[in-house]
Amino acid sequence: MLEARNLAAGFGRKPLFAGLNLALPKGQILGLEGPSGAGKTTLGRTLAGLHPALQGEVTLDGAPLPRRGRQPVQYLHQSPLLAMNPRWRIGKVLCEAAPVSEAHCSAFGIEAGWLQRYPHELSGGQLQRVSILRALAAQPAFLIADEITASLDQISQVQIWQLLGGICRREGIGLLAISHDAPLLSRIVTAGQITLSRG
Amino acid sequence: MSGRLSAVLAAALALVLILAIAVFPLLLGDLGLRAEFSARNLAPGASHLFGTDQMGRDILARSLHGLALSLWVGLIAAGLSVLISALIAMASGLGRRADQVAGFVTDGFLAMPHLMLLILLAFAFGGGTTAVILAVAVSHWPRLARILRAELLQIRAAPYVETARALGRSRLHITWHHILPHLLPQMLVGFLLMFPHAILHEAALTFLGFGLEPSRPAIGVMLSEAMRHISAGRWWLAVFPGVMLLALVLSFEMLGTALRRLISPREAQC
Repeated sequence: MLEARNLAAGFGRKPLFAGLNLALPKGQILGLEGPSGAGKTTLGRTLAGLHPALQGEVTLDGAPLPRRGRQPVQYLHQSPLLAMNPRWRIGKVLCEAAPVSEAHCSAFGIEAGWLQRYPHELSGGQLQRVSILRALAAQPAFLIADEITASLDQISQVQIWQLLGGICRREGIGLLAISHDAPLLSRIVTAGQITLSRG
Repeated sequence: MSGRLSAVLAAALALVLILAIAVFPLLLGDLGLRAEFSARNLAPGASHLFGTDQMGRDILARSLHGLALSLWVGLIAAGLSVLISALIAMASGLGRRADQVAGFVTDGFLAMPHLMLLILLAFAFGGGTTAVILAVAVSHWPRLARILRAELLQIRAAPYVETARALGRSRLHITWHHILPHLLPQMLVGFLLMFPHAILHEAALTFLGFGLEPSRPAIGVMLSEAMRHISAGRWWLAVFPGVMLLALVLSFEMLGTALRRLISPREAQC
């Protein structure tokens, strides 16, 4: 269980949100929606241990998140292009956490030809598939997916969410799906939906 | 002219000059070093293209010897300077306190008048070739260190570095695989832009009498000696070594600028 208790986070001393309590069981999908600037990304990053909390704590099965080493909560960026070393080929990017088999690649629709390309040579949807598989190779207990389909067309959005949702349910991985698209979230969540409002 | 073409042309010119400067002194032997009193103060002509000096030494051969020396001094000094810049930039990345100390030292070096600092350092290191190399190396790193520091901090905050950390990669792995490869082009351009500076400063220091030993065929020594004879109409003693030094410096300046434009078009326009 990934839990946040009395959590406050923001920039400087000013919190974007405060007193937030949240519990995400493994194998469940929780939706997080809200308008731009409400603090969705900051909350996601705080839950993944990438942003310091101003107050409160984030625990995983009752213990604080590890400060070093491979993180049990992996964060998927809105822009996968920025989350990949621009000088690395996709094959190397994919295996950054652990080797990835050909079977896994084909399950994710990653074609062999992509592996020799650089990140800027793939589309947003293709990169997002690579990004998801790379995160899963790290065998996380939880995934934070931050607007991962915001810049994609509707067909790609559905494909990516179906893929991710199916894997999380099958592998028992808890997923926090962040989006400003409430109808989209309502179609994929299994553990409810929370809304962050500005201020 | 496209950036790529001008970079290739500048690289070709610089390569030709380096090869000429490196190979010719070997072929020349002691020509240009040995006094030949029967051929004193000859104006440029068929037997001596660049003329001879007051001791009958061929100016072309002597200039090539001088440039070879300058090339070595420039290469070693610029290389050391880039190394210092990289170390200071890396130290800045260790933490806020280390960054403050590195920033203070960098600002301190930048605040001092450049030529004054060079002279003081050359004097402090005891004069001679090694002192010139050390003085140029120790006085030229701050600007590149600032650029590398800014680049380093930007790369460290990049999402792909954050992701690598979350995926369990060690600090050493991240530095080696994600940060250094992005700093290397900046270091190469910094080296190429620093190299002509180092050569010019070596010549300036030597000209002022704080640099290489007067017995060595350095361009600075030649220009300094030429000052005493130029009023007698022996213009070739100063013009030819000066023009050759300028050609070497300009070709490397062009190469550095062209490479910088290839790496960062916006920065080159500033």
